[in-house]
Amino acid sequence: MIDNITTQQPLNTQVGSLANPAMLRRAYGFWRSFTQPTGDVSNLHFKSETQLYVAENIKEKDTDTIENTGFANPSANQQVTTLPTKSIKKAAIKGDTKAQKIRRIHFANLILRDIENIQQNIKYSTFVIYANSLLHNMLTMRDLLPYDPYTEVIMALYEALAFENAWQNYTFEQYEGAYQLLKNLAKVDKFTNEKVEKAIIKLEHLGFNTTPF
Amino acid sequence: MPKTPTPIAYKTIFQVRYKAELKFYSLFINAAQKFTEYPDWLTDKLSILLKDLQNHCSLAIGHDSFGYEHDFPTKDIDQKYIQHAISELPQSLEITDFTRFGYRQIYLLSANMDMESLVSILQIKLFSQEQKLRNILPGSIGNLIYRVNGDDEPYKYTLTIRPIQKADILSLVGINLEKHFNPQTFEQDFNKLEKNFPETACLVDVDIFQLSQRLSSQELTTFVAISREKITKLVTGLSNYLFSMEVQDKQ
Repeated sequence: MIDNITTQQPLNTQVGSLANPAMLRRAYGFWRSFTQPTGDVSNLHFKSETQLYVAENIKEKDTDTIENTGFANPSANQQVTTLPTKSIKKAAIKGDTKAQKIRRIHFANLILRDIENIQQNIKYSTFVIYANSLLHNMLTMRDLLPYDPYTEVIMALYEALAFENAWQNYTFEQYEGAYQLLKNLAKVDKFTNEKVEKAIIKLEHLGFNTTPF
Repeated sequence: MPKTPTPIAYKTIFQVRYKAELKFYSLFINAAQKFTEYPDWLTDKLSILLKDLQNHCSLAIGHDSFGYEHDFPTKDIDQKYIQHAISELPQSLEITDFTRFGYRQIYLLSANMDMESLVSILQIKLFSQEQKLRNILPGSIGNLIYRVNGDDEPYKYTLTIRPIQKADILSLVGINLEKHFNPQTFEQDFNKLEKNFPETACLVDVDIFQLSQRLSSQELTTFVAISREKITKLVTGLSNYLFSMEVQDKQ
Protein backbone atom coordinates (compact mmCIF):
# COMPACT_ATOMS: atom_id res chain seq x y z
CA MET A 1 0.00 0.00 0.00
CA ILE A 2 2.80 2.32 0.87
CA ASP A 3 4.44 1.72 -2.45
CA ASN A 4 1.45 3.08 -4.33
CA ILE A 5 1.92 6.58 -3.01
CA THR A 6 3.23 9.02 -5.55
CA THR A 7 6.27 10.68 -4.13
CA GLN A 8 7.95 13.95 -4.89
CA GLN A 9 11.60 14.53 -5.51
CA PRO A 10 13.58 15.04 -2.33
CA LEU A 11 13.70 18.68 -1.34
CA ASN A 12 16.78 18.54 0.78
CA THR A 13 20.24 17.42 -0.03
CA GLN A 14 20.80 15.45 3.13
CA VAL A 15 19.06 12.40 1.72
CA GLY A 16 21.67 12.00 -0.93
CA SER A 17 24.44 11.86 1.62
CA LEU A 18 22.86 9.06 3.65
CA ALA A 19 22.71 5.50 2.47
CA ASN A 20 19.61 4.78 4.51
CA PRO A 21 18.06 7.51 6.64
CA ALA A 22 15.78 5.00 8.33
CA MET A 23 18.79 3.06 9.55
CA LEU A 24 20.38 6.24 10.76
CA ARG A 25 17.22 7.06 12.69
CA ARG A 26 17.24 3.62 14.18
CA ALA A 27 20.80 4.10 15.29
CA TYR A 28 20.31 7.47 16.96
CA GLY A 29 16.94 8.98 16.50
CA PHE A 30 14.22 6.84 17.94
CA TRP A 31 15.45 6.30 21.44
CA ARG A 32 16.95 9.73 21.38
CA SER A 33 13.44 11.08 20.93
CA PHE A 34 12.49 9.52 24.27
CA THR A 35 14.65 12.07 25.97
CA GLN A 36 12.96 14.95 24.18
CA PRO A 37 11.24 17.23 26.69
CA THR A 38 7.56 17.75 26.04
CA GLY A 39 5.95 21.15 26.26
CA ASP A 40 5.45 24.21 24.10
CA VAL A 41 6.06 24.08 20.40
CA SER A 42 8.47 26.97 20.84
CA ASN A 43 10.76 24.70 22.85
CA LEU A 44 10.93 21.94 20.34
CA HIS A 45 14.45 22.52 19.06
CA PHE A 46 17.05 19.85 19.55
CA LYS A 47 20.46 20.36 21.03
CA SER A 48 22.39 17.54 19.45
CA GLU A 49 25.29 17.17 21.85
CA THR A 50 23.11 17.13 24.92
CA GLN A 51 20.65 14.73 23.37
CA LEU A 52 23.34 12.31 22.28
CA TYR A 53 24.93 12.43 25.71
CA VAL A 54 21.61 11.54 27.33
CA ALA A 55 21.05 8.86 24.74
CA GLU A 56 24.33 7.22 25.63
CA ASN A 57 23.30 7.10 29.25
CA ILE A 58 19.99 5.53 28.34
CA LYS A 59 21.72 2.92 26.25
CA GLU A 60 23.59 1.76 29.32
CA LYS A 61 20.34 1.40 31.24
CA ASP A 62 18.70 -0.64 28.51
CA THR A 63 16.90 -2.95 30.94
CA ASP A 64 13.58 -1.25 31.58
CA THR A 65 10.75 -3.56 32.47
CA ILE A 66 7.42 -3.78 30.70
CA GLU A 67 5.73 -3.01 33.99
CA ASN A 68 7.50 0.31 34.14
CA THR A 69 6.33 1.36 30.72
CA GLY A 70 2.68 1.36 31.67
CA PHE A 71 1.22 0.67 28.27
CA ALA A 72 3.22 -2.17 26.86
CA ASN A 73 1.08 -5.04 25.80
CA PRO A 74 2.94 -8.31 26.09
CA SER A 75 1.24 -11.39 24.75
CA ALA A 76 0.64 -14.36 26.99
CA ASN A 77 3.82 -16.09 25.90
CA GLN A 78 6.12 -13.25 26.81
CA GLN A 79 7.91 -12.83 30.07
CA VAL A 80 6.75 -9.67 31.75
CA THR A 81 9.70 -9.04 34.01
CA THR A 82 13.09 -7.55 33.29
CA LEU A 83 12.99 -7.82 29.53
CA PRO A 84 15.49 -5.61 27.82
CA THR A 85 13.80 -2.93 25.74
CA LYS A 86 15.13 -4.39 22.50
CA SER A 87 13.20 -7.60 23.13
CA ILE A 88 10.06 -5.66 23.94
CA LYS A 89 10.36 -3.74 20.71
CA LYS A 90 10.76 -6.95 18.77
CA ALA A 91 7.80 -8.51 20.56
CA ALA A 92 5.68 -5.48 19.90
CA ILE A 93 6.45 -5.76 16.22
CA LYS A 94 5.65 -9.48 16.19
CA GLY A 95 2.50 -9.52 18.29
CA ASP A 96 0.35 -6.93 16.62
CA THR A 97 -2.69 -7.43 18.81
CA LYS A 98 -6.17 -6.02 18.57
CA ALA A 99 -5.52 -3.70 21.49
CA GLN A 100 -2.38 -2.34 19.90
CA LYS A 101 -4.24 -1.67 16.70
CA ILE A 102 -7.10 0.13 18.47
CA ARG A 103 -4.64 2.36 20.34
CA ARG A 104 -2.57 2.99 17.23
CA ILE A 105 -5.57 3.91 15.11
CA HIS A 106 -6.87 6.21 17.82
CA PHE A 107 -3.69 8.28 17.65
CA ALA A 108 -3.41 7.89 13.90
CA ASN A 109 -6.86 9.43 13.52
CA LEU A 110 -5.92 12.37 15.78
CA ILE A 111 -2.71 12.96 13.86
CA LEU A 112 -4.38 12.61 10.46
CA ARG A 113 -7.07 15.09 11.49
CA ASP A 114 -4.38 17.56 12.55
CA ILE A 115 -2.59 17.20 9.23
CA GLU A 116 -5.88 17.70 7.43
CA ASN A 117 -6.53 20.86 9.46
CA ILE A 118 -3.01 22.10 8.71
CA GLN A 119 -3.64 21.64 5.01
CA GLN A 120 -6.93 23.51 5.22
CA ASN A 121 -5.33 26.39 7.12
CA ILE A 122 -1.91 26.44 5.56
CA LYS A 123 -2.37 29.98 4.25
CA TYR A 124 -3.76 31.34 7.52
CA SER A 125 -2.35 32.09 10.93
CA THR A 126 -4.60 29.38 12.46
CA PHE A 127 -2.14 26.95 10.89
CA VAL A 128 -0.04 27.33 14.06
CA ILE A 129 -2.79 25.97 16.29
CA TYR A 130 -3.05 22.78 14.29
CA ALA A 131 0.72 22.41 14.04
CA ASN A 132 0.87 22.72 17.82
CA SER A 133 -1.87 20.12 18.21
CA LEU A 134 -0.12 17.80 15.74
CA LEU A 135 3.20 17.95 17.56
CA HIS A 136 1.54 17.42 20.93
CA ASN A 137 -0.41 14.43 19.68
CA MET A 138 2.76 12.96 18.23
CA LEU A 139 4.54 13.33 21.57
CA THR A 140 1.59 11.85 23.45
CA MET A 141 1.67 8.87 21.12
CA ARG A 142 5.38 8.48 21.77
CA ASP A 143 4.78 8.60 25.53
CA LEU A 144 1.89 6.14 25.54
CA LEU A 145 2.80 3.77 22.72
CA PRO A 146 6.58 3.86 22.73
CA TYR A 147 7.01 0.34 21.37
CA ASP A 148 4.50 0.53 18.57
CA PRO A 149 6.38 0.43 15.25
CA TYR A 150 3.96 3.01 13.85
CA THR A 151 5.24 5.42 16.51
CA GLU A 152 8.68 5.16 14.96
CA VAL A 153 7.36 6.57 11.70
CA ILE A 154 5.41 9.22 13.58
CA MET A 155 8.56 10.25 15.44
CA ALA A 156 10.49 10.44 12.17
CA LEU A 157 7.93 12.93 10.92
CA TYR A 158 7.94 14.67 14.28
CA GLU A 159 11.64 15.33 14.08
CA ALA A 160 11.29 16.62 10.55
CA LEU A 161 8.57 19.02 11.68
CA ALA A 162 9.84 20.04 15.10
CA PHE A 163 13.49 20.72 14.39
CA GLU A 164 13.91 24.49 14.16
CA ASN A 165 10.15 24.78 13.71
CA ALA A 166 10.40 23.32 10.23
CA TRP A 167 6.67 22.56 10.24
CA GLN A 168 6.06 26.05 8.83
CA ASN A 169 8.25 25.42 5.79
CA TYR A 170 6.54 22.35 4.36
CA THR A 171 4.01 22.64 1.55
CA PHE A 172 0.40 21.49 1.17
CA GLU A 173 1.56 18.70 -1.14
CA GLN A 174 4.16 17.47 1.31
CA TYR A 175 1.58 17.34 4.07
CA GLU A 176 -0.73 15.49 1.69
CA GLY A 177 2.02 12.97 1.00
CA ALA A 178 2.56 12.47 4.73
CA TYR A 179 -1.19 12.16 5.28
CA GLN A 180 -1.58 9.43 2.69
CA LEU A 181 1.50 7.61 3.90
CA LEU A 182 0.41 7.60 7.55
CA LYS A 183 -3.16 6.71 6.64
CA ASN A 184 -2.13 3.70 4.60
CA LEU A 185 0.40 2.63 7.19
CA ALA A 186 -2.17 2.78 10.00
CA LYS A 187 -4.21 0.15 8.17
CA VAL A 188 -1.33 -2.31 8.07
CA ASP A 189 -1.99 -5.44 10.14
CA LYS A 190 1.51 -6.77 10.49
CA PHE A 191 4.41 -4.41 10.83
CA THR A 192 7.90 -5.42 9.88
CA ASN A 193 11.11 -3.46 10.27
CA GLU A 194 11.20 -3.25 6.51
CA LYS A 195 7.80 -1.56 6.32
CA VAL A 196 8.80 0.96 8.95
CA GLU A 197 12.05 1.71 7.19
CA LYS A 198 10.32 2.02 3.82
CA ALA A 199 7.84 4.45 5.30
CA ILE A 200 10.60 6.61 6.77
CA ILE A 201 12.46 6.61 3.47
CA LYS A 202 9.22 7.59 1.79
CA LEU A 203 8.97 10.55 4.15
CA GLU A 204 12.47 11.53 3.12
CA HIS A 205 11.45 11.29 -0.52
CA LEU A 206 8.55 13.57 0.23
CA GLY A 207 11.08 16.11 1.41
CA PHE A 208 10.79 15.64 5.17
CA ASN A 209 14.19 15.76 6.78
CA THR A 210 13.79 13.02 9.37
CA THR A 211 17.41 13.21 10.51
CA PRO A 212 17.95 16.90 11.12
CA PHE A 213 20.49 16.41 13.91
CA MET B 1 -12.79 -4.08 8.35
CA PRO B 2 -13.01 -5.80 11.77
CA LYS B 3 -16.31 -5.27 13.51
CA THR B 4 -16.67 -3.59 16.86
CA PRO B 5 -18.21 -5.79 19.59
CA THR B 6 -21.96 -6.17 19.63
CA PRO B 7 -23.30 -4.79 22.92
CA ILE B 8 -25.00 -7.50 24.95
CA ALA B 9 -27.51 -6.52 27.62
CA TYR B 10 -26.92 -8.20 30.99
CA LYS B 11 -29.51 -6.35 33.03
CA THR B 12 -32.60 -4.20 32.64
CA ILE B 13 -34.17 -2.27 35.49
CA PHE B 14 -37.29 -0.21 35.02
CA GLN B 15 -38.86 1.67 37.90
CA VAL B 16 -41.77 4.05 38.33
CA ARG B 17 -42.22 6.08 41.53
CA TYR B 18 -45.37 7.76 42.75
CA LYS B 19 -46.72 9.41 45.86
CA ALA B 20 -47.71 6.87 48.54
CA GLU B 21 -51.41 6.66 49.32
CA LEU B 22 -53.20 4.49 51.84
CA LYS B 23 -55.59 3.06 49.26
CA PHE B 24 -52.65 1.14 47.82
CA TYR B 25 -53.01 -1.62 50.40
CA SER B 26 -56.51 -2.52 49.31
CA LEU B 27 -55.55 -2.53 45.64
CA PHE B 28 -52.17 -4.11 45.16
CA ILE B 29 -53.08 -7.80 45.59
CA ASN B 30 -55.82 -7.50 42.98
CA ALA B 31 -53.43 -5.65 40.67
CA ALA B 32 -50.78 -8.36 41.09
CA GLN B 33 -53.22 -11.09 40.13
CA LYS B 34 -53.45 -9.68 36.64
CA PHE B 35 -49.81 -10.56 35.90
CA THR B 36 -50.15 -14.22 35.06
CA GLU B 37 -46.87 -14.27 33.15
CA TYR B 38 -45.07 -14.41 36.51
CA PRO B 39 -45.72 -17.89 37.93
CA ASP B 40 -44.05 -17.30 41.33
CA TRP B 41 -44.67 -14.69 43.96
CA LEU B 42 -43.50 -13.54 47.36
CA THR B 43 -45.24 -11.09 49.71
CA ASP B 44 -44.83 -9.50 53.13
CA LYS B 45 -48.45 -8.28 52.89
CA LEU B 46 -47.22 -4.68 52.39
CA SER B 47 -45.68 -5.27 48.97
CA ILE B 48 -45.45 -8.11 46.49
CA LEU B 49 -42.72 -9.56 44.31
CA LEU B 50 -43.81 -11.45 41.18
CA LYS B 51 -41.19 -13.74 39.68
CA ASP B 52 -40.61 -15.41 36.33
CA LEU B 53 -37.67 -17.65 37.15
CA GLN B 54 -37.49 -19.15 33.70
CA ASN B 55 -36.84 -15.76 32.13
CA HIS B 56 -34.88 -14.48 35.15
CA CYS B 57 -37.08 -11.45 35.74
CA SER B 58 -39.39 -10.02 38.40
CA LEU B 59 -41.92 -7.29 39.05
CA ALA B 60 -42.02 -5.66 42.48
CA ILE B 61 -45.09 -3.67 43.48
CA GLY B 62 -44.73 -1.39 46.49
CA HIS B 63 -46.61 1.48 48.15
CA ASP B 64 -44.54 4.20 46.44
CA SER B 65 -43.05 2.43 43.40
CA PHE B 66 -43.24 -0.52 41.06
CA GLY B 67 -40.17 -1.93 39.41
CA TYR B 68 -39.28 -4.50 36.79
CA GLU B 69 -35.87 -6.18 36.87
CA HIS B 70 -34.49 -8.63 34.33
CA ASP B 71 -31.17 -10.48 34.37
CA PHE B 72 -29.89 -11.56 30.95
CA PRO B 73 -32.72 -9.67 29.29
CA THR B 74 -34.13 -10.19 25.85
CA LYS B 75 -35.70 -7.34 23.95
CA ASP B 76 -38.99 -9.15 23.40
CA ILE B 77 -39.57 -10.07 27.04
CA ASP B 78 -38.56 -6.59 28.22
CA GLN B 79 -40.94 -4.90 25.82
CA LYS B 80 -43.83 -7.24 26.58
CA TYR B 81 -43.49 -7.23 30.36
CA ILE B 82 -42.81 -3.50 30.72
CA GLN B 83 -45.66 -2.66 28.39
CA HIS B 84 -47.99 -4.81 30.47
CA ALA B 85 -46.83 -3.15 33.70
CA ILE B 86 -47.26 0.42 32.46
CA SER B 87 -50.62 -0.25 30.90
CA GLU B 88 -52.07 -2.21 33.85
CA LEU B 89 -50.61 -0.93 37.11
CA PRO B 90 -51.43 2.81 37.01
CA GLN B 91 -55.05 1.92 36.38
CA SER B 92 -55.26 -0.93 38.93
CA LEU B 93 -53.44 1.03 41.64
CA GLU B 94 -55.38 4.22 40.78
CA ILE B 95 -52.22 6.24 40.25
CA THR B 96 -52.76 9.47 38.35
CA ASP B 97 -49.44 11.26 38.87
CA PHE B 98 -45.91 9.95 38.99
CA THR B 99 -42.79 11.51 40.47
CA ARG B 100 -39.99 9.58 38.77
CA PHE B 101 -39.44 7.26 35.83
CA GLY B 102 -36.21 5.32 35.54
CA TYR B 103 -34.89 2.98 32.84
CA ARG B 104 -31.49 1.44 33.35
CA GLN B 105 -29.59 -1.10 31.30
CA ILE B 106 -26.20 -2.67 31.83
CA TYR B 107 -24.37 -3.83 28.72
CA LEU B 108 -21.11 -5.66 28.25
CA LEU B 109 -18.92 -5.06 25.23
CA SER B 110 -16.77 -8.15 24.88
CA ALA B 111 -13.17 -6.95 24.60
CA ASN B 112 -11.28 -10.12 23.68
CA MET B 113 -8.02 -8.84 25.14
CA ASP B 114 -6.22 -8.83 28.46
CA MET B 115 -7.30 -6.51 31.26
CA GLU B 116 -4.18 -4.36 31.05
CA SER B 117 -4.79 -3.64 27.38
CA LEU B 118 -8.45 -2.89 27.97
CA VAL B 119 -7.65 -0.44 30.76
CA SER B 120 -5.12 1.31 28.56
CA ILE B 121 -7.65 1.66 25.73
CA LEU B 122 -10.27 3.14 28.05
CA GLN B 123 -7.70 5.46 29.55
CA ILE B 124 -6.57 6.72 26.16
CA LYS B 125 -10.07 7.05 24.80
CA LEU B 126 -11.93 8.45 27.81
CA PHE B 127 -9.44 10.47 29.84
CA SER B 128 -7.17 13.43 29.23
CA GLN B 129 -3.65 12.59 28.14
CA GLU B 130 -2.18 15.94 29.09
CA GLN B 131 1.44 15.64 30.06
CA LYS B 132 0.81 17.62 33.27
CA LEU B 133 -1.88 15.20 34.42
CA ARG B 134 0.20 12.17 33.54
CA ASN B 135 3.04 13.59 35.62
CA ILE B 136 0.75 14.10 38.60
CA LEU B 137 -0.81 10.64 38.56
CA PRO B 138 1.38 8.12 40.32
CA GLY B 139 2.78 5.07 38.49
CA SER B 140 0.77 3.13 35.98
CA ILE B 141 -2.99 2.81 36.07
CA GLY B 142 -4.29 -0.66 36.89
CA ASN B 143 -8.01 0.01 36.74
CA LEU B 144 -10.37 2.91 36.20
CA ILE B 145 -13.99 3.98 36.09
CA TYR B 146 -15.63 6.68 33.98
CA ARG B 147 -18.83 8.22 35.29
CA VAL B 148 -20.94 11.03 33.92
CA ASN B 149 -24.14 12.60 35.21
CA GLY B 150 -25.87 14.46 32.44
CA ASP B 151 -28.98 16.33 31.39
CA ASP B 152 -30.77 15.62 28.17
CA GLU B 153 -33.97 17.56 28.81
CA PRO B 154 -36.45 16.48 29.97
CA TYR B 155 -34.40 13.41 30.87
CA LYS B 156 -31.35 13.00 33.05
CA TYR B 157 -28.84 10.21 32.81
CA THR B 158 -25.99 8.56 34.63
CA LEU B 159 -23.42 6.78 32.52
CA THR B 160 -20.77 4.49 33.94
CA ILE B 161 -18.06 2.80 31.88
CA ARG B 162 -15.51 0.44 33.37
CA PRO B 163 -13.42 -2.56 32.42
CA ILE B 164 -14.56 -5.82 33.93
CA GLN B 165 -13.22 -9.36 34.23
CA LYS B 166 -15.25 -12.54 34.01
CA ALA B 167 -14.93 -13.21 37.74
CA ASP B 168 -16.48 -9.83 38.60
CA ILE B 169 -19.46 -9.94 36.27
CA LEU B 170 -21.83 -11.46 38.82
CA SER B 171 -21.20 -8.81 41.45
CA LEU B 172 -20.61 -5.73 39.28
CA VAL B 173 -23.56 -6.33 36.99
CA GLY B 174 -25.62 -7.15 40.07
CA ILE B 175 -27.10 -10.38 38.81
CA ASN B 176 -29.77 -11.35 41.28
CA LEU B 177 -29.38 -15.11 41.82
CA GLU B 178 -31.74 -15.16 44.78
CA LYS B 179 -34.62 -13.40 43.07
CA HIS B 180 -34.29 -14.55 39.49
CA PHE B 181 -33.08 -18.13 39.60
CA ASN B 182 -34.75 -21.30 40.74
CA PRO B 183 -33.24 -22.14 44.17
CA GLN B 184 -33.11 -25.83 43.25
CA THR B 185 -31.28 -25.43 39.95
CA PHE B 186 -29.67 -22.01 40.15
CA GLU B 187 -26.15 -23.38 40.13
CA GLN B 188 -26.58 -25.31 36.89
CA ASP B 189 -28.65 -22.54 35.31
CA PHE B 190 -26.09 -19.92 36.16
CA ASN B 191 -23.14 -22.08 35.08
CA LYS B 192 -24.75 -22.49 31.67
CA LEU B 193 -24.98 -18.74 31.28
CA GLU B 194 -21.55 -18.12 32.75
CA LYS B 195 -19.92 -20.21 30.02
CA ASN B 196 -20.75 -17.44 27.57
CA PHE B 197 -19.36 -14.63 29.73
CA PRO B 198 -16.45 -12.81 28.09
CA GLU B 199 -13.06 -13.06 29.82
CA THR B 200 -12.80 -9.29 29.75
CA ALA B 201 -15.34 -6.72 28.74
CA CYS B 202 -16.22 -3.08 28.94
CA LEU B 203 -19.23 -2.55 31.17
CA VAL B 204 -21.58 0.22 30.09
CA ASP B 205 -24.25 1.13 32.62
CA VAL B 206 -26.81 3.65 31.40
CA ASP B 207 -29.47 4.96 33.75
CA ILE B 208 -31.97 7.35 32.19
CA PHE B 209 -34.55 8.99 34.43
CA GLN B 210 -37.15 11.72 34.49
CA LEU B 211 -38.07 13.63 37.65
CA SER B 212 -41.03 15.88 38.31
CA GLN B 213 -43.78 16.45 40.84
CA ARG B 214 -46.47 15.49 38.34
CA LEU B 215 -45.69 13.12 35.52
CA SER B 216 -48.56 11.65 33.51
CA SER B 217 -49.24 8.17 32.11
CA GLN B 218 -48.76 9.59 28.62
CA GLU B 219 -45.29 10.79 29.58
CA LEU B 220 -44.55 7.33 30.97
CA THR B 221 -45.23 5.66 27.61
CA THR B 222 -43.09 8.22 25.80
CA PHE B 223 -40.32 7.87 28.37
CA VAL B 224 -40.05 4.11 27.92
CA ALA B 225 -39.88 4.32 24.13
CA ILE B 226 -37.37 7.17 24.08
CA SER B 227 -35.15 5.69 26.80
CA ARG B 228 -34.83 2.42 24.91
CA GLU B 229 -33.90 4.26 21.76
CA LYS B 230 -31.40 6.53 23.53
CA ILE B 231 -29.71 3.67 25.37
CA THR B 232 -29.36 1.60 22.21
CA LYS B 233 -27.89 4.55 20.33
CA LEU B 234 -25.52 5.44 23.15
CA VAL B 235 -24.21 1.92 23.70
CA THR B 236 -23.74 1.26 19.99
CA GLY B 237 -21.97 4.59 19.61
CA LEU B 238 -19.67 3.82 22.53
CA SER B 239 -18.84 0.38 21.17
CA ASN B 240 -17.88 1.93 17.84
CA TYR B 241 -15.87 4.66 19.49
CA LEU B 242 -14.01 2.55 22.02
CA PHE B 243 -13.13 -0.38 19.81
CA SER B 244 -12.89 1.25 16.40
CA MET B 245 -10.15 -0.02 14.13
CA GLU B 246 -11.15 2.18 11.27
CA VAL B 247 -8.92 4.90 9.91
CA GLN B 248 -11.15 7.89 9.31
CA ASP B 249 -11.36 9.51 5.91
CA LYS B 250 -10.96 13.21 5.32
CA GLN B 251 -13.99 15.26 6.29
